[in-house]
Parts: sequence; structure tokens; C-alpha cells
Amino acid sequence: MGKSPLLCMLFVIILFVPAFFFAQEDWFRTGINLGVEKIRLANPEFQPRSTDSPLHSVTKTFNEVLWNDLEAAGIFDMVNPSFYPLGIPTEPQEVKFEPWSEPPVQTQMLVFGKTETIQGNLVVTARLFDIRSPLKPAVLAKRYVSEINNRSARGVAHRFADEIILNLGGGLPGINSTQITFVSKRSGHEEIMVMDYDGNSQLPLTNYKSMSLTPRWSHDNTRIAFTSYSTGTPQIFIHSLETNRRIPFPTYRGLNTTPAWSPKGDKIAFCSSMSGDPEIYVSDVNGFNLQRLTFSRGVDISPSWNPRTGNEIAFISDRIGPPQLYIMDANGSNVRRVITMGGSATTPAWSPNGQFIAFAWMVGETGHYDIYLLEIASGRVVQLTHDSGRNERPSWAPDGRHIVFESNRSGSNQVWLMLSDGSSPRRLTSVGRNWGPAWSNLSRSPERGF
Amino acid sequence: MASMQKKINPMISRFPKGRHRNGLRDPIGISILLHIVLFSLILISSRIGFSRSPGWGTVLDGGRAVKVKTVASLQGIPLPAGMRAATSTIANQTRGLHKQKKKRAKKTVTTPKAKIQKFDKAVPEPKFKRINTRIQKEPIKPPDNAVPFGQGGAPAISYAQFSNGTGQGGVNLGGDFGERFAWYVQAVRSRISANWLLATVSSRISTAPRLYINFSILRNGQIDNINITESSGIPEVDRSGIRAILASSPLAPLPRNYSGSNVSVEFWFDFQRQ
Repeated sequence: MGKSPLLCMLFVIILFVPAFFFAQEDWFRTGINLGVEKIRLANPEFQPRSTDSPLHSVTKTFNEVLWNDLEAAGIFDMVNPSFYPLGIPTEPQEVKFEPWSEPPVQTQMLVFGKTETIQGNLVVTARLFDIRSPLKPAVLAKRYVSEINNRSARGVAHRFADEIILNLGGGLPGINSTQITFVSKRSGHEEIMVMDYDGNSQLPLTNYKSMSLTPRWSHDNTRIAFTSYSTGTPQIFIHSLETNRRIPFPTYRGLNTTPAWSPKGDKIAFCSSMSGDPEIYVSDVNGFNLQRLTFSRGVDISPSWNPRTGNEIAFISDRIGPPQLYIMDANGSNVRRVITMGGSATTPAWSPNGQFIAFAWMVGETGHYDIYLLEIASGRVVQLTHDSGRNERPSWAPDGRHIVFESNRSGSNQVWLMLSDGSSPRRLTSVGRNWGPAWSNLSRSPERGF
Repeated sequence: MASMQKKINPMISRFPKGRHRNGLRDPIGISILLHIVLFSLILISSRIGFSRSPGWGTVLDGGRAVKVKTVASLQGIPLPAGMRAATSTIANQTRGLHKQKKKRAKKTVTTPKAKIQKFDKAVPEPKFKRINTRIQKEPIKPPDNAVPFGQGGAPAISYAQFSNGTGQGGVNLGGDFGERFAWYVQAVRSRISANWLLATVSSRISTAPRLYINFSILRNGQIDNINITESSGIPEVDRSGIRAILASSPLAPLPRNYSGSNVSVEFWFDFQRQ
């Protein structure tokens, strides 16, 4: 009898304390475009218009990819298909509004359509309806024509998902046609690879049979800069994705690593020990106008430009002890330390809107690195990964709603994806060891392959 | 036989028969006598000692002693309320969300007089009255002034309003745009509210009067012609609202079936630090 009040109090504490902490940590979701309520969206499967086998196969792929894209967007509350009414519509006149607007479906938006084969091509007719406006429900009506294969069907699904996210997300484009580059040792050597944002179509980019590390996309996604050990010492290499060849960049004495493209794509900041001490340098893409930005004892490494302004660079320095996060102006002036709570910080990544810096931080008590988010204006910090192994090297998606990072939570180093509030983690790689991911920018054409 | 007995038990043979049976009578008498003397000495010494020095708790200024009465005997002084056992409204014996474990029955000693009453027999369960379900099947008549679903009218919870960590806000779009393209208004509201950040206003400001900002959305989604129509009176809050709108440009392109080249928007912000 005496234990009952104690148990009740414990229950109340368990019930309300997490809510209190979540409320305290909810502030940053506004800045990463996840702080608004989700739009309830139903996505019944698109129906093939004929019974031929290839169309069925690509329609299945299309449906899977479209659902995954919308679910991973972070702004939709996807209605469970088991709630859908009978009679899936394929044409506008087949939509019955009441079953979709009433419980248990209660959807705001309905995605539907059909696939067919016309003159040997895959034709996808896709529509988005606002169920709350039966008089004028049409929001989007698109028709896509492509080859009948799974790769094309995936591309069509990505493009339609991007259209939906652009319109319902307030103008922020979707990231379904973007790509991620990363380091993989699946071939026995550390080589650079490229994959779709959802982990599909993983293809090798380099074949130096050496160590290739820290890949970074140029602003137009036509080039990738990385660190290569193929010449014996670590040097900055630039690889063109258009010509599939190496672009000349000067080699320097000592360690040269962690390249970072400026937002305009005209400059590269990197770490070099050409003067003896690892310092941050910046030069034109062809190596001209080399300029040293940092002048301090110890290591200055991992520069990351402010993508919004291009006027500031975040970097890591151990000038006063353990590695800490600093920001300086793009000309090397106005250096200031932004994390004053101790610990050891690495691999900063500036958010696309310029308001946050994601970085890996090892605070004394945890004993391993986790991903944290710093709001630059207020200095507030929030932890994104908890109790799930070592998590490092974050890289932002161009929509600011997603972060790709490296984690050993599954037993070995793999590339993981999560929403920028730390929720919905998803593993993207599984073959061999994979790490050091970097997300591409938006302007890359989805049709461009490798 | 007598000579045999003497040989076997020599102790018995040393004392006479009567003396052997009453051997403790003399020591008990001596002990009682000594105890009486000891108690009498203690009593005498305590009397002598008490009269010589004051003991613990003795009032030394004997003439000014305070008379103490019980409070109940004084008139005009209200008595405090008696102690009552309070019942907590948070933690009580009601059933919680989790399944309660069956408590182990304590072993109690039952007397034959206090018999446990058999509840099911003593209090029979009341029979539930049958509910007339035909009433629920009757269709609900809508009120005469109701607007049909999706055909205009203000929703109960407006899709054009928001609330985030920085405060509340809302959006009004010109003409019937808001009714025709509710999804677009919701997207505009979500995007701008996501860019209205608490960090853009200094911590000494907790609340501010409502701020109204007008702007136009061009065909391609670009935001243009931003004007403050009613200031909050606090420049920082005004700037935070303008910053939120500028950071949201470009918005999604205007709907294809909207014929206008632009749409005018009134956005309001209620800054409130939580």
C-alpha cells in the first residue's frame, strides 16, 4: 500500500519530465523548417493501365520510391494505406472526397495517378489534390515520359516528389534528386563513391588504389575536391564529373587536406602544413591567389564556408588545448571561439540558411563523439544523436531539413541519414566500411549519370 | 541396608535431616534486611541532596513564576483547526494507464466473529437499461447557416495562423485567393513561420504589440514590395518580421490556375517570448 503513491509520483515524473525537456529543446526546429505541423497526405499506389510485366515492375518501383521520398521529406504525415477506402482513383473524376476527408483517413492531400506504356515509353500521369477544396481540388497535374526501366522510374518518382515538396513546403525544393558522395573501403582501398540521396545507385568515382578522403561537391555539382594519398603525400585533387578526369590543382609540401568550396565555387579553402604548421589557406580553384588565413600554433583544419553569405568560415583549431570550433571572416580576420563548454569538437558543417553549424563533439562524460547543432546567433547547442555509438562528420542537405553523417551504431562505420532534429535515422550503406559523406547541392541535373 | 546407605551417600549423612531441607531460609532473610537498609539510605540521601542544591528545571526566581493554563480554558482565542489527512489529487488509488499487478493477499488472522460478507450475494448487480440505438442512427441535420465543406467560410482552426517558439502569427491574402488555394496559404504560412526566429530579437524583449507587414508574391514566387503597415513599436521585432519574410523568398510559384500576375499578402506577427 505504501508503495502506490511513490509509484504514482514516479509515473507522473516519467510522463512529464521528458515533455518538459522536449519543450525546452523544441526551439531549433523552427530554424530547420521542421517546426511546423505536418501535412496529412495519402498516397495510394499508382495503377498500371496494362497487364504487361515490365510496366508492372517499373510501376512497383515508382510507387515504392514515391512513398519513401514523401515519407523522408519530414513535412508530411503519411496516412497508413490500411485506412484507405476501396476504389483507388486513377482519374480526377474517380475521386470521392468524403471517404478521404472523413475518419479514419482524414487526409488533407491526395496523391494519385496511373502508369501506361505509349510507343514503348513509360508515361506516368500524376496528380495532387487538395481534399479540403472539392470545388477546385487540383494542385498539381504532371505527365512524365521516360524509358521503361527501374532507373528511369526512380527518376520520375523523385521528380514528382520534388514537385510536391516544392509546392507544399513553401518553396523549399525537395532533395530527392540530389546525391551524396562518401569514402568507401569496399574495394580494399579508400575510394570516393557517389550514390542517390536514399542510398541507391552506389557507384565508384575514383580508382587510385590509394587513400582518397574528405570529398566535397562544388557549388554546381560538376566537380568534387578530395584528399588523395596517391602521390605519397596527402594532396588536394579535383575531379570533374563532366569529363570524368582530374582537374589540375597545385601540390604543396606536407599535409594538404579537408578542401571546402566557396558558395560561388570560385575559391577553395583547405588545410595545409606547407609552412610547417597545419593552417587554413584559401586559393582560386586553379591554385592562384594563395592566401594564408590562420596564424596560430597548433592545428587549424576542417574549414566550412557560410553558404548563405560566403563571408565567414568555420574551422577547428587546437590553439588553446583540445580541438574547438572557431569562426573567422573569409579574409582570416575576426577569429572567435564559438563553443566555450570544453570537450573536443571536429568536422563543422554550416547549414544552408547560415543559422546553424552541425559538428561532432565529444563532451567529457560521454567518451565518444555525437552530432550537435549550434545556433550561431544565440550560442545555444542541442544534441542530435544520443546513445547510439560514435557519430561524426555531418553534412547538410540543401533543404536544411536533413543531415547525412557517419556512425558505427550498426557495428561498423556506415553512412546514415536523419532529419535535422535528430529523428528518423536511416542507414544508407551496408557493404564494407563507408564514412565521410558530403551532400551535393541542388543544381545538379537528375538525368546526369556517371 | 542402613550401613550400605551411609556408605553410598556421605553428604546426606553429614547433616541432620531437618536442617538439610531449610538451608536457604537464613540467606534470604539477610538479603531482605540488607535491601531495606539500602533503600532507606537512598531515600535519606536524596532528601538531604534535594534540600541543598537546586535540581534541573528549578525556577530560581521563584516569586515570578508564570501561570500556564490550557488554551481551551481561555475565552476569545479561537482554536486552530484540527489536523486532517489530505488526499492527493495527483497520486491516488484510481486505475492508471498501466495494467495493475495483482497484489499479494496478506495473511490475516480471521476471527470467526468477523465474517467477510459475500458481495455478489449481498448486493446483486443492477441490470443495465437498454439504450435506444435508433436515436443515433438518425441523420444529424446541419444548421441552416452552415457553409458546405470546402466551399468557403472560416475554418475552426485557421490554416492561415501559426504558433511557434517566437510567438503567433497569421496571413491574409487578397480577394478569394485564400479560399481557392488554401494549400498555398498554408505553405506560405509554414515557410515564413519557420524563418521567424527567436534569436533575432534580444532577450530583454518578452512581448510586443502586433506587427503588420504587407508584401506581394510574384508569379515566380519571389517576394516583393515589403511594407510595414503597422509597426510593433519595437524596431528589433519589426526587423525580425521583415527578416523572416525576406528569408522565405522565393516561395513556391503561384498556382497555375491562378490568373493574376501577383497576389498581395498581409502577414501579422505577435511576438511573445515563452
